[in-house]
Amino acid sequence: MNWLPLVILLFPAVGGALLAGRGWRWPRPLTVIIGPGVVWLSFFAVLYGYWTDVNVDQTYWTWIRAGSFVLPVNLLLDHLSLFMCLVITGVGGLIVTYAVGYMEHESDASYARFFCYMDVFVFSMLLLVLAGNFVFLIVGWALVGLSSYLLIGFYYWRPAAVVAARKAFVMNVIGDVGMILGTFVVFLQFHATTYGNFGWVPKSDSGYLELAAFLFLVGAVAKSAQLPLHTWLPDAMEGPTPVSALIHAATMVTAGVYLVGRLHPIYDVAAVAHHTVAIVGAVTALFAATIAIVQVDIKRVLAYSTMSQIGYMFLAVGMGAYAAGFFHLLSHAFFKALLFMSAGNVIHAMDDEQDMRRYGGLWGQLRWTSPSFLIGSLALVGVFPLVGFFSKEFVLGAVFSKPDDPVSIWVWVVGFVTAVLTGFYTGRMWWVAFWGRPSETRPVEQPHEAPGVMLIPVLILALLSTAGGLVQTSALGFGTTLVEDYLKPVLGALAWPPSPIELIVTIATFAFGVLAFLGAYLMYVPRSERRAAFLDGVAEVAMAQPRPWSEQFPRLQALLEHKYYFDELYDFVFIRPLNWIASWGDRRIDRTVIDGSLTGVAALIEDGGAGLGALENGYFRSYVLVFVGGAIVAGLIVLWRAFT
Amino acid sequence: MLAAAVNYSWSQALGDMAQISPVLVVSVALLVAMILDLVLPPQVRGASAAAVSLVGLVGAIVAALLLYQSRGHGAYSKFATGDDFAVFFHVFFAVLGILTILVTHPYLARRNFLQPEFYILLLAATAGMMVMGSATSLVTIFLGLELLSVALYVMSGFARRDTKSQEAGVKYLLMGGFASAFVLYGMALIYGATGSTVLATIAQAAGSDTGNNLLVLGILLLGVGFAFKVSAAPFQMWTPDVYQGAPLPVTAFMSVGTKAAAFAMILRVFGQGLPGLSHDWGALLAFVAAASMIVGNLAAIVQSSLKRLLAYSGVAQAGYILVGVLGAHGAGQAAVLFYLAAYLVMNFGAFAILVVMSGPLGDRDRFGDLDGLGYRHPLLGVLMTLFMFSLAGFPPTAGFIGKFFLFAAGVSGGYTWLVILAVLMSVVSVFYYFRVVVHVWTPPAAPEARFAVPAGAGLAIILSGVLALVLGLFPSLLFALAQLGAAPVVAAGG
Amino acid sequence: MLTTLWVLPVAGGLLIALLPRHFAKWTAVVVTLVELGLAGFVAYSFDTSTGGYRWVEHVQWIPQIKVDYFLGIDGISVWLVVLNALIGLIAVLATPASPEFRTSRFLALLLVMQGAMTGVFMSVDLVLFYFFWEAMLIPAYFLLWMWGEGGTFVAGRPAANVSRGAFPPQEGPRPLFASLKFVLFTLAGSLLMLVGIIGEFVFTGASSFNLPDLAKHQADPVIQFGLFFLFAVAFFVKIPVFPFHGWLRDAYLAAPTPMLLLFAGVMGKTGAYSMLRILVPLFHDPTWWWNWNGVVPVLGVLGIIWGALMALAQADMKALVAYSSLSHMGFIVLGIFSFNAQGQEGAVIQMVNHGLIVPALFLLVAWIQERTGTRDRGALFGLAPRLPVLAGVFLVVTLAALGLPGLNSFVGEFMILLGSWAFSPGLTAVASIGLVLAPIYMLRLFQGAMYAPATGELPHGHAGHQEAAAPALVDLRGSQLLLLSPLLALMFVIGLYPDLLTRVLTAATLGLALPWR
Repeated sequence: MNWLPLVILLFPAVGGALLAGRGWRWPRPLTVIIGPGVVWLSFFAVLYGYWTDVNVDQTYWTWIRAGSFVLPVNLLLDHLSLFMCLVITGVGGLIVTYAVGYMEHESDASYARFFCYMDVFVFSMLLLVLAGNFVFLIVGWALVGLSSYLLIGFYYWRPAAVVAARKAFVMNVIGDVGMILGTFVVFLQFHATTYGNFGWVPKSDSGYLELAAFLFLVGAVAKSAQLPLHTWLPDAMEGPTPVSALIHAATMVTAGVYLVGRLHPIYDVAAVAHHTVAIVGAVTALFAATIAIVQVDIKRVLAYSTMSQIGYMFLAVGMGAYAAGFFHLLSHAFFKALLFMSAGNVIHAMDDEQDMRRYGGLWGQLRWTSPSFLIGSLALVGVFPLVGFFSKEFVLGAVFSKPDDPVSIWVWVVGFVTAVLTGFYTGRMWWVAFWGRPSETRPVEQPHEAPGVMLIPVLILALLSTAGGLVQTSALGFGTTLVEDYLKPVLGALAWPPSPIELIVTIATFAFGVLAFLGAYLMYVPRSERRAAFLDGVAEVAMAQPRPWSEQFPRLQALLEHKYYFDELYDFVFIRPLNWIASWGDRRIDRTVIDGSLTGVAALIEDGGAGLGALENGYFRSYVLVFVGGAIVAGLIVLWRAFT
Repeated sequence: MLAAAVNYSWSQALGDMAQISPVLVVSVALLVAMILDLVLPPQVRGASAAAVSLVGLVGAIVAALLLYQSRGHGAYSKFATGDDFAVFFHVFFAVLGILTILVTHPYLARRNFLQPEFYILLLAATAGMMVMGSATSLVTIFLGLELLSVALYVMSGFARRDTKSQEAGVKYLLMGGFASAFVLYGMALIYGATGSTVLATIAQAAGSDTGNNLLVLGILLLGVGFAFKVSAAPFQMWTPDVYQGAPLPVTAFMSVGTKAAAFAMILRVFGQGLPGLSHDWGALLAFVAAASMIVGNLAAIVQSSLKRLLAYSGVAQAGYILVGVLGAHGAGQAAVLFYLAAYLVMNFGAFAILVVMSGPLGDRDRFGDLDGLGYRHPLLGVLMTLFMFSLAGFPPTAGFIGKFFLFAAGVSGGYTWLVILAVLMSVVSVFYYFRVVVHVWTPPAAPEARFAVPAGAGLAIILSGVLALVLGLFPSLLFALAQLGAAPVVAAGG
Repeated sequence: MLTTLWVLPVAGGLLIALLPRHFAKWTAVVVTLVELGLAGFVAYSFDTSTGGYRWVEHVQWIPQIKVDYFLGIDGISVWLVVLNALIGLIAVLATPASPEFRTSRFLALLLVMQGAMTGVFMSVDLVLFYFFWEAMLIPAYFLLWMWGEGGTFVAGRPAANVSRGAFPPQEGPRPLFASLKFVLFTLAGSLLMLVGIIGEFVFTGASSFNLPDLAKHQADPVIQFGLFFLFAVAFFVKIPVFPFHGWLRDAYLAAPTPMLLLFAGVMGKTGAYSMLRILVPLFHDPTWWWNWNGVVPVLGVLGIIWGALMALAQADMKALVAYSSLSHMGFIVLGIFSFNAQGQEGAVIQMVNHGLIVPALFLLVAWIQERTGTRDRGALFGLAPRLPVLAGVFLVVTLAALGLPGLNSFVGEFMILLGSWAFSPGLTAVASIGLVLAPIYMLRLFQGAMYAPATGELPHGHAGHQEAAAPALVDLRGSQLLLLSPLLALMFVIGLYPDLLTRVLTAATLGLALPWR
């Protein structure tokens, strides 16, 4: 009996329970200790598991037995789940620690509530990756959805937050249902309830396998905010910034990638579903990147870029380059968490102002935050030698060099274009928010840097985003392949060799990305505000382009600013009809037909009674009349009966 | 028959008398009561008459129990008998009479009616019912029927200063005479067709000759007459008026008595006399049953007088019982007897409570009069509720089990459609029975004084209440007796 | 033993009716505690080795027509008996002890109702079953009418006009009308069932009323067709199954909270239980021209969707919960008619779950109304900061109700859908829409009351309770928390360790699942 998986799980669970129990009556320091403490504890437990290299599938008790459906409660701690646990507890630990400072201004009760939810989330996420069977995968899957719901709606006095929370929850439930049905197919067709190393997956593709793969894909898409179930993620930015960093950037939203990786034996066989994964990823990547160009809320820009980056991971795993996908997951966790947290510092310094057009000129004013944000941005763009470069190029290279696959080249093209767009919107964000003069409408004249507890995690992540790439340098064609090797036992090796021209492609992507980043400078920083002698050579080019593109294509801009009208569409197609049908059915059917039929019958009967009562007029003659009439009827009946 | 009359030995005479002993006992009590009424001083007449009738009825019960399972095979050349069927009804009517007396005595005093006459008429009616129970010949049956009816005509009009009562008496007389004519004509036709008035002989003669028009016509006329007597639709018109007009105790008495007697008659004539022609009378009775269930229940809903409501409910109940008559041989007849017993306790109990409530001026049978009964007299309230639930056929009461027997017989007799109609209609019935309950437990608009509950009446009510429960919980004993009682009419029919 | 299980509450009830008011509540508590203890003992000492009945009591009752007093408990009924006992105890504890409330009468009726329901769950003989089935109605009728909102003892004013013209009813709270509608509608169903019971006796040729015998004799399909519906309608109305839920809204709205706990929590289950106990084993072969085994699940699914939609439309929280339970019962029906171990076990688990969740919800709604004076979810807001504990508890119950994995309701719904997927994937897909709608209406309920700004004055709407006249926003009292704690605990336990129930179930339900499925 190996207790390690359970221990890893229990730390945050206990922490959450404690805080839920009496936390809101506790002195703040106790909360500060327990909240992040338990996450770090399970981080160390995970580290222990990493060093001792455990690899177990441990059953604890029987969950249910119904005929042939017998389900054990088993936790699976292999390299993949260890990898995920490291990300969750490591990055998670940093973010929760950061939150200690960020949530400073909350009341004691809310403060405890926040850390309670955070611990619950960490627990659920760990359960998701540690689950050894489909049911508990679903349990974790739903619980992360729940904690996401709770944290998005953390500021429940904001109507927007409440609505956003409900939206996120419902969309995730759609995903859950998909997973549940997928589980049914797996059980009824392949008689499997646990992973069991996927020995049960047939060697040849079949309709049921595709069905299962698609149903699970629904779950993955909903959780990872891919098209078409993506609309909840931008709204989720209503939650506190650490939440956005942890849940909606680093961990939860990448669960879809984990799912596809975990179930890769299925997807390897189910070709159609597998390609769908890649295509969904590619489309989402491009789609989100385009929207990110016009967003003005700094957190929403990051949200769309998250969608876009997850799209990268999807297209990687969808193409079968699992190691690449997970490496990008890792590096994205680093730099996106970094971006969100330094954005958090900025927002803090700006009195919770999130519209970046009202920032400007922060460079140099926030001595530590600005460089960290820059590192994050460059990593996002994929600048050598930051971690983003290695991971993104690893993905694109692998996809590019995948042989005899009709889809791969198109997927790569989309990926390439997206990379360029990424450079552009990241540049826009960076230049507009940090460069140039302070905007006239800037809320704070002299912003002050965040306290240490908020800086140190940021700096650690900045370090990781800078040097993290060195663990997996295969994008350059040589060097380390630690991630790939570590995950090989679970995910298998890359099925095809890198193509010779891959390096050129890599450099091209890198170059165009950087150019787009700089191009944004020319487009979004007015000439007057450009620092003297900086890029003045190229500056002349900008003279030819005095106005930003958006002024020339107002329609396009409107389209992008309305996020391709997805919310409006869903509202029109689902929500309004639903409410209308509900209220109409209530008025016109339930009260009128179903309920009314009863009272109607009753009234009818009573009227009949009244009619009969009227016959009873008390006159002897009429009685005799009725008597005789009855006798005649009776007679007819008897005669009819007697002579038939 | 003439020959039989010539050498009619003493022993035979005694045997015959023994077989009809209960009737004799009651008749004797009747005579004694009459004589006492002449000789005793006025102030004690009522009490003495009551005492005598009680004694007589108890005596009748004893006599009947002596006859129990005596395998009586026809007295007076099969004009009457003391078989278990008769025994059952003797006891039944005697108990009814006793209960009536217990309830009535204080009532009469309160409304200062002529008491002795009332008891005398009561005994006469009871005697007539008993005759109908033991009669096995069309002649004796008609004899009993008229004896019963005439007594009841008078009793209905007993409240001489009350015009409604007068009206009731007259209406009942006219309609009753009308119906009796039907019965008599029907009997004549059957005699014409079979050349006998003795049921056994008729059974042999008629066999199952359904083509015989005389018989068919006779059955029709008889059936109509019988239907009138059990107050089944569409021949029920007299019922509400008479029930409403007649003094409450009379209503209570006849609501149960006439029905039971008429059913005894139906079982005898159709079950024992014309079993082969069930094809014909079955159709007739099925029609009547369906009609009375519908009419009775629907009309009862809109009544505002409890007497009328119970009258219509009686119509409906007649419909249910007819289902049993149509039902499978054996089970059906037994079910009828059982249900009659249940009907006795629950219906009489309900009326008895009304009797107790009625004031010196007149009967109080508006719904409003019931308001708050449950708070003024919790026990009465609970019992009234119990009776209503029983009439509505809810477990754990006698009414439920009784209906269950009836319906079971009906289904196995092939009348499933009728049973389904019956259950749907009893849903309707719940509506008005519950309305009574609602009033019982509705706080009165103005607090009313507690009225005194006389001991005798209280005893009778509690007794019927207890029986209504016991028969519901442990029905097997009475059902066994009912089966015994039904045996003669079945054996003849089977 | 089993006799004690049903006699104890009934006798206790009669005793309480006679006792003075002050003893009433405590006597009731003692009685229900003992009842719970006995039920728990039966469940604990339940032999899981094989299916079939335990603790059988079999004596003749009406030998002439082979009606027996035949009690027995098997894996299915045992949990419902325990649930009944538990909810009974909670209902008694939740009953206010005040003179104008006529506590002793209320408790007497309540206990009698509980006893009758216990009888329903335990009786193996159909007539006996029917006996309890109907007896159940009488106390329910009085409780609904006299203690219902605006009823005799609650609003303090006399009941609505009951003489001619009770139909169509007046507007406003109308417990009398609601109770009468409930009783008549239910009765229409159950009296037809009585015909069905007789029909079973006559037409199957079993000439017996006890289930095991009847299951051995299958009538001719056409007869079965008729009998099936005679039975089914009774259960449809009682559960209720769409579209037989006409009584639901009024009855649940009228019902006084303590009675509602048993009414919604357990009485609905009697219908579902009987479906599993009677319909499934007794009617094996549907006619070729109308396969009810295909029709009933459709009704179930319709119920799931319709209930959810109606719940969306309700402003009154009580009505919302009422319709949500219509939706949940739809799942149960679907599970029963999936004809396999998974579905039917899921159904039983879900019966228990629903029996735990709905009482908790109704209690919370009642407490909110008690504090704020209104039940209109549009009028309420921002309770979370003022009543943190209540909010927390409410959240857990809400999550359980919307079937959050990890809590009890998920187990039931998962198993049911698993079973029904094996039976008909298409139907299951539709049913799973219900899973998506559930969070929508449940969160509307929860967020509507709990969230939004804590500032602003709460409305003082019309209230059914006097004490609501002056709403005092005190948080959940310890006693009230204690009242809920067993329900909450069980929500977690069943969610994490459902095998606790299924251990006993498997043997029993496998017997019912039909071989040719």
